Amino acid sequence: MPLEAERPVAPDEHARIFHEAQRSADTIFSHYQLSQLLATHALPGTMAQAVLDELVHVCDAAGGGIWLARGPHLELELAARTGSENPPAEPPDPAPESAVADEAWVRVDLEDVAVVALASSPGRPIDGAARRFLSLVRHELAIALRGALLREMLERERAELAAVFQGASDAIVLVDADRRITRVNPAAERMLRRSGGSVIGEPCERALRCDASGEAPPSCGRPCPFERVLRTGEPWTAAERVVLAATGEATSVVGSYAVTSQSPDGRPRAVGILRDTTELARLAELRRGFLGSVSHELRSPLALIQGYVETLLHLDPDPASQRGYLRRIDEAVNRLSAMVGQILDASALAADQLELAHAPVDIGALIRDAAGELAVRFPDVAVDLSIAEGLAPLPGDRERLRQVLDNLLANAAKYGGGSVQVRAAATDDTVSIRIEDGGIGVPADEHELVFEQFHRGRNVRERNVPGSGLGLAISRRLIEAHHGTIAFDPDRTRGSAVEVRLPLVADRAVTIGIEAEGTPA
Amino acid sequence: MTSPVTEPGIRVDAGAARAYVRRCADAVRRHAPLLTRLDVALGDGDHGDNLLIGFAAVEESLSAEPPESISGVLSSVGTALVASVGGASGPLYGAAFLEAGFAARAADELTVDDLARLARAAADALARRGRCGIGDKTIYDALAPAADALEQAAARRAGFVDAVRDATLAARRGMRSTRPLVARRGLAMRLGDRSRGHLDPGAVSCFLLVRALAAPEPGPT
Repeated sequence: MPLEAERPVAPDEHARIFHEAQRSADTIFSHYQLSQLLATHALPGTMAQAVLDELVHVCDAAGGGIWLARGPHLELELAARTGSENPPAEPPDPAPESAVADEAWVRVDLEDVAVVALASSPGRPIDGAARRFLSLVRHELAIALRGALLREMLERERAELAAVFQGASDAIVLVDADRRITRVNPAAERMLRRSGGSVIGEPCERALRCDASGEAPPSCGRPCPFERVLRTGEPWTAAERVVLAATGEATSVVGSYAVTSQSPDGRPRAVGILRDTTELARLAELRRGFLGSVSHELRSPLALIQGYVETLLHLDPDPASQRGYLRRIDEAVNRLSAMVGQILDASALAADQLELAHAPVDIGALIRDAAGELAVRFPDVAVDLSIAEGLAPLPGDRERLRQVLDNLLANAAKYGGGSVQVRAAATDDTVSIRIEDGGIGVPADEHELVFEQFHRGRNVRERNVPGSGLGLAISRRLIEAHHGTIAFDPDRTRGSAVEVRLPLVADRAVTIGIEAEGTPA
Repeated sequence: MTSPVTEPGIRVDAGAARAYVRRCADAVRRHAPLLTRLDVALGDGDHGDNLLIGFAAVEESLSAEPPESISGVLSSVGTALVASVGGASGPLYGAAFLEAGFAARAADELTVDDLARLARAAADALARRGRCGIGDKTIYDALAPAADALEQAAARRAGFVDAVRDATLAARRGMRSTRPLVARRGLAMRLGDRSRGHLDPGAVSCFLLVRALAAPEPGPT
């Protein structure tokens, strides 16, 4: 029969028993929820808050707080609070009877890990059952909160180590006891030109291409450094060796190797930290070049000056000879001064961001000015100019472009056998400047090398023409900073022809880190 | 006398209640693998198994001593679930069925009004025991909208068929709403943000139990 509102309800006693049973089931379920919570892997903040909410409910409290020992000196910090209007900054006094105002606090110390405190509301003290419950679960609470704190610490350390591993500029390679790769960092992926995933599980000699045979450069070497540290357990720093990338690039490296943690099967693992020394090797080569050519170039004018000065001091030559000696001293000093200027320029270009002016440059006028000055410096050299009409102004740095022109023209005059031709023409988007001479030329196999710092053509060295080996290097850097190109004409059979191409479009930034650009292709 | 005249032949009495419980058990048997799979992502992967065990106990208790009243049927379901299920779903669904059974009092037959009242009592009991609310990614996210829908249906004096269809649609929407949520109760809480993107298995099983209300058997068994 249908339910009716006016029907007598179930007897009060029945309702009371039913609701009591439901409430006690609720309480049991709360305990279950709490135990489930304590078994989770939550971090301290989340764990403390969830635990506190549960405890406040189970103990029928008005609010509370959880303080965790988590500061640098394990001082107690408030990690969670709920309900209470004015939670104390410090855990309340252990003696709840002394509590002030309307709240009575029950405090539970958890094995120096944490303090849990619950506040009762006025007229509803936390009862004996709640206190008993708190003391029953205190060990579980301590374990759970300590676990959460440990997880937090591990997570922080893991994050820090991961940042070091990911961000290191040295390649880091981890191998297991069988020397199979277990992990590589991004720097190693770049060095090997492979993704980390594709390397994992490979034997180290395959990943690092130590097994490359035949004409390959000396590879990572034998005995394998990983094999050595795994066998001896002692860290080892290996001398320079070469790692081959998947694409064949060789990288000179110096490696530090050590045994790391044990794997779950109890066998050791090892880590190798490989520092790329290719750049260092290149710099060392440059330094040798510098010492070889520049010290000679600096010393010969000095020797000349010394000789003339001694003659003037001790031999008392006639006034005409004196003037002759002084003029030669002046020439030698100028040469020295120019060379020192170039060296300073080259090192400044290598070290700094090059700040270029970015204004329209009348390239025709610039060439005429430079040629005019060349005629003064080299009166015996015939300069033939051919500059196209109406060359559009070029966006760039007037002083730097002039420096390039001076340098190329001086080369042509110095090595050119008496005549220099300069042609300037333009297409829609490019200006090209071609400087030709009929001199000794640049050997074809050195067309690229002469643009390296301190490199001087072998025919130049044989003839003992003075120079620093820096002019073309500086010129190329400046032209590239203008997004242009500079190169010798490979088809030129007599003398040399160098061609500079500069873009007329000014859509790219012209602040370029010279050294950061790396070796031009 | 408040029986909907528009649906002659539909009588929601103790027999209908027993039939409903059997449909629940069928639905659980059919979808237990899905529930377990969902629970693997968020909980401890036993939701399907737990409900299988629970409803097997329910069927056993109903067939051993078939209760003669609606209240008796629902209380018996609640008691069996609480007593047999190891996970959280037993005490939670148990609370819901026990409260619904208590709310049914001595009624021999239910109106849509009564059904709405029972659903509300069940939802409130579940929220009290689980201390959960809408958006916590729990059973409640499917059950509460179903109770709302039944109340609305009762308010506009809809029949059982419409009321149950609305409740099913509302439970389905509620179930789907749990997918983007971050769990705030239960084991899934430990996952934090990683609980996003998964349906809550409890909300899914609750949808199944609400859907089982449909096709009430006509007449006394």
